[in-house]
Parts: sequence; structure tokens; C-alpha cells
Amino acid sequence: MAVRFEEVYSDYKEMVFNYVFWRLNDYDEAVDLTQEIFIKIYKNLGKFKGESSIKTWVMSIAINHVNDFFRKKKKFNPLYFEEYANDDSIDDPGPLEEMDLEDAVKVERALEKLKDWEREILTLYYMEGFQYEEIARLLNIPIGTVKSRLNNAKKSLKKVLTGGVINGK
Amino acid sequence: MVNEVEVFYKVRKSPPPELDIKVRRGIRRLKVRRFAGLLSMVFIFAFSFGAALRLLLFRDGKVPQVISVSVQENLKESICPGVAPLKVEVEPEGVYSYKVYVNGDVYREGVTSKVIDDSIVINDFVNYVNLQIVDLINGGEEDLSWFVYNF
Repeated sequence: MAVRFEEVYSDYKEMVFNYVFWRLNDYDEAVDLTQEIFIKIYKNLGKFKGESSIKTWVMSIAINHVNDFFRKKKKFNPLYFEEYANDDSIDDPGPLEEMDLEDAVKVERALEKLKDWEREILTLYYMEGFQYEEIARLLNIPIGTVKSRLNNAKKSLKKVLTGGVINGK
Repeated sequence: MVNEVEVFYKVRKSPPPELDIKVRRGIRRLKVRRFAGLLSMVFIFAFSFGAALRLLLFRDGKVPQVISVSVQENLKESICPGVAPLKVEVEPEGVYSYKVYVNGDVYREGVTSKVIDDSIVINDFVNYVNLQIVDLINGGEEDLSWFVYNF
């Protein structure tokens, strides 16, 4: 399956950069990491067999690269991650339409206050439009866990947005 | 009230134009590295191949030639009570060193230009004779073995 790198780059550079930025919450580092990810994509493009969509394949490389980055920096804490992710007892906070989402700047600041994994799930689902099944495959977790992580992330976002914490920032 | 996807879309971050330059530069570097790797592999291969070829074919700039060693036929597998004659002829004429082993031990060594006319004193019932000849000028070598019985 012949895929041109230039096409992949122009189609997905925004998606990859946006994902990396919201995982790292650091603009300059996101630029460097996005560059590394696209070099990796360039190196491995010949291995893409079309078993998944190119979008999912590109995102899986980005996710793995960012996880490696955290692992090298020892920032990644899987225990903390699972503790929250498997907590299905948290109620669905309801659709985000009910929250104060009109002000994009508020949302941006609220996102900055969330945990890495919360931003990740919100980015994949809302910003990049991945479905539950695709996210489950990308993060190698069951669909139920995807849903619970999304609920937890929404709940955290709602809490930050309604808590008035961001106004003072 | 506003659609949540729209709001999230608004907070999407776009990469700076410098990312294009960085990626292009990174790929160029990768291509250069790959080319250099390929070039060094070709160089190493060519060097090793040349060295191996030189080692195999040229010794001190001379090509080894095929040497032919003939042992007098009736001496092979013969029964020789006590002493076995050793009559060998090497072609072409040159400078050869030779070693004669009897049952694994060196019995005789020397240098000849063409003919070895010698004899071997044998003590055992079955004797395994091995003759190794090395061309001292051109580097070829030859190895011959046969049995001699003593009774």
C-alpha cells in the first residue's frame, strides 16, 4: 500500500501536534516531539499495511512516542492512571453542553489544569473525533474503560469550569 | 448553549510554520545518514571482498599455480617389510617444502625442486603416510595420503 509521506504530513500534522501539545502542555516541546514523530512515520511508512486507517496508524505512533517520552522522563505513573481509569463508580457528569463551554479560553485554561490522561481522552474523543472502539484500540484498553475515563475527564473538566478556579488565572 | 465539539475544536492547537522546516530538515538528515550508512556498507564490503580476494589469489603479488604431485603408483597401499620407498614427483619444477607424516608424527621434512626420492622406515603393521607439499614461490599447496602395510 503506497502512501506518500507528504500527504500524511499535510493531512495529520495538526492532529499530531494538537495531541502532543495537550499531552505535554508545552508548546516548544510539542514542536520537537511532533518532528520526531513524523521522522518515525517517515521511517516506518513502508510497514503500513492498511490494516487500520492511516489516521489511526499515525495516531498510534504519536501515542507510543509520547508515552516513551514520559517513560524516559519518568513522569508516567501507570498506577495513578489505572486507579482513576477503572473507577466506574463515578457517575456520568452529563453532556458538556450543560457546562459553561461558550468561552474557549476558559476551556483551554481548564484543560491545562487537568491530568495528562484526562486531556488525552478528551483530545482523542472531542478534538480528533476518534470513536470509542478506535480509542480502545489505540490505548489498548477495553471500551468500558474508555467510557469511564471519558466520564472521569468530563467530570474533572466540569469541576474546574464550575469551580471558578480558572477565573483568577 | 454551544456544541461541545465546536468548543473543543476552538481550543485545538495548530503547529507553527517552523515545524515544516524542522520536519523537512530532519528527513534530509535521515536521508544523508542512510546514504552514508549505505556508502560505508558498500565500502566495507568492497574492502573485505578485495582483501579476501587478495589473500586468496595473490601472495606477494604472485598468483598461485596448480601443482601436481604424483606418487609412484605401486607404493600406495603396498606391503613393504620394514622400509617403504617414497618416490614423488612435483610439477611444475619450482621450490617446494615438504613434510612427511607417518601415523600422525612428522617423519621427514625438507625442500625439493621437483623430485622426492626417499624411504620410510616403518615399524607398525598399518602405517598411514601423509605428504604435505607447499609451493614456496607461488603459495599453492597439495596434500596426499596413503596406507603402507608392514609384514
